[in-house]
Order: sequence, then C-alpha cells, then structure tokens
Amino acid sequence: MDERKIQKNFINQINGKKKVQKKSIGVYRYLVHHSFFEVLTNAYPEFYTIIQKQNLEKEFDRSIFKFMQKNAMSPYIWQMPNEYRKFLKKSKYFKKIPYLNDLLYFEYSELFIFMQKPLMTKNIKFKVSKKYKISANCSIHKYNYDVINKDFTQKEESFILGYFDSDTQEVVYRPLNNLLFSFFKTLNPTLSLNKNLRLFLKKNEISYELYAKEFIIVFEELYIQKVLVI
Amino acid sequence: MVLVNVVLTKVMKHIKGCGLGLRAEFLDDIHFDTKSFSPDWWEVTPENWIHMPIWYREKFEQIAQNTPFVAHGVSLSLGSNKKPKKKYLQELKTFLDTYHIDYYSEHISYSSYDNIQAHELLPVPLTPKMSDKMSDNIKYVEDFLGRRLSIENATYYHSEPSSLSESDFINELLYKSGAKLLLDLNNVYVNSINHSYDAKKFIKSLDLDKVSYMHIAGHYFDEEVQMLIDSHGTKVNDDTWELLRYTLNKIDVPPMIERDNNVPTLDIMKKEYKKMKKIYDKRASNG
Repeated sequence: MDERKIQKNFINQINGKKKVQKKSIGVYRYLVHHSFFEVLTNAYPEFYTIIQKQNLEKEFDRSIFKFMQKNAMSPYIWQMPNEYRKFLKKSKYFKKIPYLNDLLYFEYSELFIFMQKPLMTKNIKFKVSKKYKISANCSIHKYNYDVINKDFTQKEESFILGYFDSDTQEVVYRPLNNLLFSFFKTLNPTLSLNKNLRLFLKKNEISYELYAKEFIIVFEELYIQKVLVI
Repeated sequence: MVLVNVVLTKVMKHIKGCGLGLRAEFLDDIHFDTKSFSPDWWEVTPENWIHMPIWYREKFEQIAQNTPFVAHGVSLSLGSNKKPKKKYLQELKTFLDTYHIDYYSEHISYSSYDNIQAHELLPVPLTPKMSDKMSDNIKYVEDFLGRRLSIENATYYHSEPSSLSESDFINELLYKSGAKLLLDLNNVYVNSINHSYDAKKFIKSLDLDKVSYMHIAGHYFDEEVQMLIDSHGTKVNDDTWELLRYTLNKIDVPPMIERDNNVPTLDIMKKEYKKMKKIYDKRASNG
C-alpha cells in the first residue's frame, strides 16, 4: 500500500485537480472550499460585493480551487487572504477588474495592521536630530486608484498611509502627498531625520529654510502615532 | 483512587478540574474578581493567538496570568509527507514558553500535503507505515518543543484504504511515539454514528492509561450528506454527555468543552461548563 499515493489522490480530489470519486470525499471538498470561501469573503468584503454585482461567483470559485492547489502555504489562516491576493496578481482570473490588486491590497492592509504586535515605545521627546525609521506596523503604499473613497471609475494615483490609532482602536488611513510619500520610502534610518530631510529637499530643489518646518510638524505628529519610531 | 491519581499527576500535573476553549468572543466578559466566572483552565489554539489583533493582546495576557493554559494546535499536520516547518515550530515554542504552557496537543490527521495547506483535518490511511511516519513526526516535534505531545482521535467522513482498525492504529501510534492521547468523546460519537460502531466498545478498546485529557463538543446532522458533522458549533448532546460519564468511570482525567463555531456568550458556555463540572465532581465522589 502506497500511503503517499493514497494521500495525494485524496488531496487532488479535494482541491479540484481530480474529479471526486466518492460522496464521502465530496464532504471534504465542500468543507475545505467552504473554509477558504469564508476566510476570503470576510477579509475582502468590498471585493466580494463586486464579484456578486458582476456575477463572477463561478470565476471566484474556480480561482479558490486553483489557489488551493499550490498557493496556500501559511499555517495561519489570517495570512491566507494575502496569499490569495498574490496568487490572483499572477493569474488569469478577474482580468476584467483592473483595480483588483489595489482593492485587495487596501482591504488586506487593515487586517495586516490589526495583527501586528503593539509597539513598546519609550516616552522620549521627539527631536529632529535623532534617527527614526518607519514602523513595520504601518502601511505606506502607492495606489493607482482612489481606494479610500472606493472610486474605481478612473485611474488616479494616491499615496496612502495606514496605521493603528491606539486612542480609537481603529486603523486610520490618511492620504500623503507625493513628496511625503517619496520621503518615507527613501528614509535612511542610519541618518538623523534632519539629515534625511536636508538631503531629500536638496534633491528635489526645495528650500529647507522655507519648507522644513512644515515637514517637521507632520513628522512629530506621526511620531506620536508611532508611525515614526526610534 | 490513589492509583488513578498517580496516573493523573504524571499526565497533567499542573492541570486539574475542567477546561473551556478560550475564544475571542469571550474576552470582554472575562474578569478577574473572585465573583467572576473562570474555568479551572483554558485551552487555547496557538494558531489563533500567536499573532492576535492588537486589542486582544492585553486581555489575553491578563488571562494567562490568572488561569492555566493548555494548548491545542490544528495545523501541525502530523500525518503529512513533510515534517512541520522549523519556522512555525519556533514561533510555536516561543508562544508556549511565553505563556508558560506545558501541555500541547495535536490531531491524528494531516492538514497539509507538500506544504500546501487545506486548513481542514484530513483522514490518514490507517497502516503501520503511516503510524511509523506519524511517530517520527511526533518525536521530531517533541524534541523541538521540549514538551511531550498529546494526540487527538479525529473525526473522519471518509475512510482511506487501511490495514488496521482505528483503535489498533491509535494504540500502535501511542506505543511507538510515546505520546499521550487526547480523547475526543464527540469525535468518538460522531464516528460511531457515521461508521456504525459502538462508541463505548471503541473507548474500551483504547489504551486508556495513556489518556491525558478529554474533549467534548457539539455536532449537527447534515441532511445532504446524511452524516453527523463535527462542527463544534452546537451544544453538547445527551449521547456525548453519557459518554463522558461512562469514560470518567474508567479514567480520572480532566475534560473540557470545545466551541469553535456559532460561539455563544460566555454566560451560555458557563452553563454547559457547570454541567460538565458537576459530572466531573460526581466522578470524584463516586471514586
């Protein structure tokens, strides 16, 4: 008796690679698909609303089976939606929805931020002469659509910062301008914030004397929100 | 009674009384004053708590300081063709160490194959070769975690080609691996109905000296497939309560209630818990 063959054959019937040969195996196919379906539709409510509106349920089911065959690797269920997003990005599914990856990335970012460990920061006064980095607990991302307002009618670049607000216990999203986004994406944590700012403004031919103060006000606020951390 | 207590001490020496599965839905209703309800111990599923939402963490840590934890995993996939990944085992070990959890259990099943997750407990072929494979995986995990494992008899809706009976397979696996048995009475009941055998005879055929603790839970009958489904989503039924009484007359080990779906308020679970506790305490007075 080849146990590996038996198990492989069973798995292939569950994940849709092979036709189900027995009703009892069909039970497992149903249970596995159902749990994937539940996790994905809970993590991506807006995405699933669009799937329903556009009558794409069958394509959604097919994509779940295909995803189950190769791409569900994490033992943590909460990470499944991100694996599915990455799978869809490389797949043939939902090509009619050009904003799909933006939407999924945005919806998943909330779950990602919620699941991070809270930061144990010391109560140290903000000083621009110190070195800071962007917290791994937040999301800074460039989108091709206005995801915050769920407006997918036309392409429109938007730069969004997402972080956990410990006062409201919610994930807060705020738009960044192009300059702040570029600054954060190129922030060098081995240099002081001030040095970073000087280099950045010089590169962009912006006067430090005239505009540094405005940047520093935002930095201090983001330090309080634990977006910038030591 | 003295002899039985010796067995209990060896198996779960810091865990006494009855347990309840800790669910996120209960967190707001758990308090630490003397009047508030608390089970004797909580069972936690590491996969649900290793990473947890920010707002759960503080309460979870308070609970861990006040009540003992036992851990019950779902994704180790002991019957898989691949060994559990070291990265996951390290995260698991850190979690168990952080919350001072000595007792960890998993299932006689597999939930991933070629490292692809099914997120469901799948039935293994009941063969000597499979028990060798699972035994190797159990020892590997025990060495990594520095803890002895308990393994749970799982439900199955489909029987893979097998050369051993279910109880022979479990007993052989316990013998080869040295693991303890987490006896899930709801699973015994569900399997006994779905596969037409006598639940009590099945329990009697197991190596009961090796039982570390017991699970009870609810299930439902699915009209479409004409089977009982182990949903952990309903209250415990009378037949399972009866199996608990029956088994407690044979072995003195702690029981706990699992509830994973349609999770009610803690107040409702408290009623079921008290029923279990009454049965458990009656066992002690009978002894």
